[in-house]
Amino acid sequence: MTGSRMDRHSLAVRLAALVLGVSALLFGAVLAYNYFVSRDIIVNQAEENSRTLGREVANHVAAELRPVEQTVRNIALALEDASLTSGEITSLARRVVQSNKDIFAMAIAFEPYGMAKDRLFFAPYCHRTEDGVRVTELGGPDYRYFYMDWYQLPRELGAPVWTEPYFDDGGGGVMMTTYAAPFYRLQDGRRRFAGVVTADIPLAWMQRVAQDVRLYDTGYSFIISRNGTFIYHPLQELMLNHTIFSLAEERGDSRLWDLGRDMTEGGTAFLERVSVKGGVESFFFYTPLHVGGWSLGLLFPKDEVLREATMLSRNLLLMGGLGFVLLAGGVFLVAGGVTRPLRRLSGAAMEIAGGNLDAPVPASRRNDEVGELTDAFAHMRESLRDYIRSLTETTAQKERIESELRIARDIQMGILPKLFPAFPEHDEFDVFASIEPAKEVGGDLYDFFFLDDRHFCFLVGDVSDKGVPAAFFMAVTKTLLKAVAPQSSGPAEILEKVNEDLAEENDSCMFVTLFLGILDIGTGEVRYANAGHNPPLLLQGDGAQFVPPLNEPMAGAMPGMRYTEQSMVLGAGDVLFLYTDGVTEAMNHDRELFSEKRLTDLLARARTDGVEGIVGLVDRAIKDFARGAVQSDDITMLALKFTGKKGA
Amino acid sequence: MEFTTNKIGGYAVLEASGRMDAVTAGEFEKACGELMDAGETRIVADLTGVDYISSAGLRSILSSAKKLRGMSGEIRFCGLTGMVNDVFTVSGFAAMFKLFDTAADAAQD
Amino acid sequence: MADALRLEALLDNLEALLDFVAARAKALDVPPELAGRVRLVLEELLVNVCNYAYAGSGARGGAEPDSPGLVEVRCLRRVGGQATNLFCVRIRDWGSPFDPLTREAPDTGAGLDERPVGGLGILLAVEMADHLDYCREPDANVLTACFIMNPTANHP
Repeated sequence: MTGSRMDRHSLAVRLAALVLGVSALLFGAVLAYNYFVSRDIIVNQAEENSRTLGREVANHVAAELRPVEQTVRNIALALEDASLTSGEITSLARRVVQSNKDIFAMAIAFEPYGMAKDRLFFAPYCHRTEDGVRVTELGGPDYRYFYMDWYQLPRELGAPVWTEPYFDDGGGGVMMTTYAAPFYRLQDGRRRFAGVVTADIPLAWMQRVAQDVRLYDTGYSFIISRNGTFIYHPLQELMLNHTIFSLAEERGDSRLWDLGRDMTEGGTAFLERVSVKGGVESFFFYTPLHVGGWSLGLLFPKDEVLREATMLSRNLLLMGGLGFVLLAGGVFLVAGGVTRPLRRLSGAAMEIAGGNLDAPVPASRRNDEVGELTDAFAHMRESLRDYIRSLTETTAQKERIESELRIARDIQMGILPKLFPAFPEHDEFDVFASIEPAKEVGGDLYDFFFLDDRHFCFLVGDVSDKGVPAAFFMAVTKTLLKAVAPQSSGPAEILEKVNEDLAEENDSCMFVTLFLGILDIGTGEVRYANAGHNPPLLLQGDGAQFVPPLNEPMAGAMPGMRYTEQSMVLGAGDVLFLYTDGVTEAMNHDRELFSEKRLTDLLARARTDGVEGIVGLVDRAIKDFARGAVQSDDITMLALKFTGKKGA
Repeated sequence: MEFTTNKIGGYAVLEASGRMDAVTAGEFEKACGELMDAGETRIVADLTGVDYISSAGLRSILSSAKKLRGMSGEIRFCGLTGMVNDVFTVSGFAAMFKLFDTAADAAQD
Repeated sequence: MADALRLEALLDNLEALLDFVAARAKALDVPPELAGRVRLVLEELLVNVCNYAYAGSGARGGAEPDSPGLVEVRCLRRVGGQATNLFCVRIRDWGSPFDPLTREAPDTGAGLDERPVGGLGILLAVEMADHLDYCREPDANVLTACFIMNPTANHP
């Protein structure tokens, strides 16, 4: 096991990361969804609340001012009666002010020379003082009221108007507004404009209404006039001094300017913006007041509105966080529980892989996959141990057999004559033989011996099978040959006798090919017989040719075979080359055979090389040809040279 | 506006009084024109009686001064008080014309 | 009664407008020594309105379609910074958007010959008022000129 217990790549960590990551994602999504949904609900609720509140304020203002409007319009109607005297008109105004606590002052202003032909001005003005209602004349050289907005606007519009609010210089800085209604009289049969009735209304109560509007903690309201002038705003310095437009330009806030325009045009909207007072992100609602073209604005900080949603989300986040920590603990515990036996198992596996098959496999106490894996692993270790034990035994057995085979092979090779020069006392002839055993035990044999002083017997054979039985067969054949040969008249008889003996008890149906020759070392005559063996090569002059084959059967397969004896005479220097098919059937990697042709070509000019040289030449040629390809058969060669010299 | 004229040395003294505003400014230009028509090219405008002047008044002064310049003449001022003095300073007229306390000072040399 | 006068924007009405402001200033306890400056500023601004506000545009501001446009002056007192009392006059016209304060000031250092006749009005108004600002309302131009009423607070 490498790395720390909680390696970054360990299964437990990966498992935990996956589970925790997915849960965190899920939780985050739920939290976000919850926040946005609850925020939506709360914002909708806030909008609904502000609409309700706006309606309430508007209704409140309307309830205060509608009676004043009604009163003024009634007076205007009453003034259409041309029979009213100036005294009656003045006392009418006085009575209105006396009986209407909401009205601070009333003026009834006539058109120039409208009341009397000799009076330019007639405009009695009744206003409340500490000592009761006082009456004064408004008109004068310094106050040509015909040009005043309160006079001009109703005249031009032909309808009552609310003037822009103003601070009354007489009333100690009380904010006032004036409601002015035109009145008409019939003149020359036509209804003509005759003057204006006005009522001055202090607005302190309206400011209190606006001030008393409670919106969350620090929310506030403001009221602007038709021209955008602040009639009420919690920032005192804005009141009457600023219009929403001058404020917007001062602040470079074109959005505020657009909002002011919509407000003064009687729009209603709910939106988000930064408040003028305090400069905090706020919700902003505005709606017309239905009096004087005024508009009410309500601003309340977003975070106060969303406090509940934020709180809810924070609690959820806290709970979620706690749950997440618990989950993390649980996941690590479970993951650790799952992987701990795995880690132990892995440790045991490493030890077993290191060769210690007796390393204990941790006991499994579970019924889950890890338990199964542990059991399977224990079983595997048992099987492995059994297998290795049996393999060890088999290997030992095989090694023993192989060693025994090697010994058999050594014995087999040991029975072949290996000492050269074999007959240093004879210079009439020379003989050399070699056997290159294949990996498997083969059945090639060669032999040579004197039958008497003159006759030298030589042979090469090849048992048809391989393995231990072939080795035995070869040993038997060689022993038989050597036993039979001295009591026989010639090569054919030797082969016939050996065939009889081999075939007699040959249940395994083995056989052997044999070429056997007997050289008269005095004359060079060779008598020979061939039991199915490859024809030898005769190296004579500048050539090599096969000794003509007789095609007679192999020895040992069937009793009662007859062999024909042949003979030839070797000249001085002639060489007879005997071999087994291991030579001509040697193979290279391309599965080509060495072939008889290569052999004859090779030996054609090799006669003078001497027997050892000839055998060595062929041996090297075969090795060059095979280039390391596995040798599948024994390679056996025997070269006999007749020198023609007389014995010493 | 009201104007009276008299003569101190080589200078015709134009005593103005009242307000030189958008409504009355033309009257000053007209009074100067009458002096020029009478052959006067060196004029002292005594503004002691003028309590108000606006850009319209300045414009008529400038216009008259340019005409006098064309006749190789000159206009000088004296008796600037209150806001008239302020307006002359703010508008750069104080640097453009020769100003004196009294008509007698202005009519020297 | 409300402190606003609205008349047709004609030079013929200039006197009436200026007299109204003078009367309101007196009623609002504006020191008499300010009267000249107030009148100068108002004259310059009103002349400007009369000459340019409705040039090339149809009359607006509640007047009859074919008559000249209207101009309104409104007087008020307000508390300015450093506890100063301000007397303010607000001039409103319903002409096309135009801010006279952004016009380039004439070169007051120029000599007589290179001096153009005119252009001095706005300069005088700017110099003589303590505060002067322009604001565009959706359908009107609003110029507000303010004067410090208790100069001792500003000039100790």
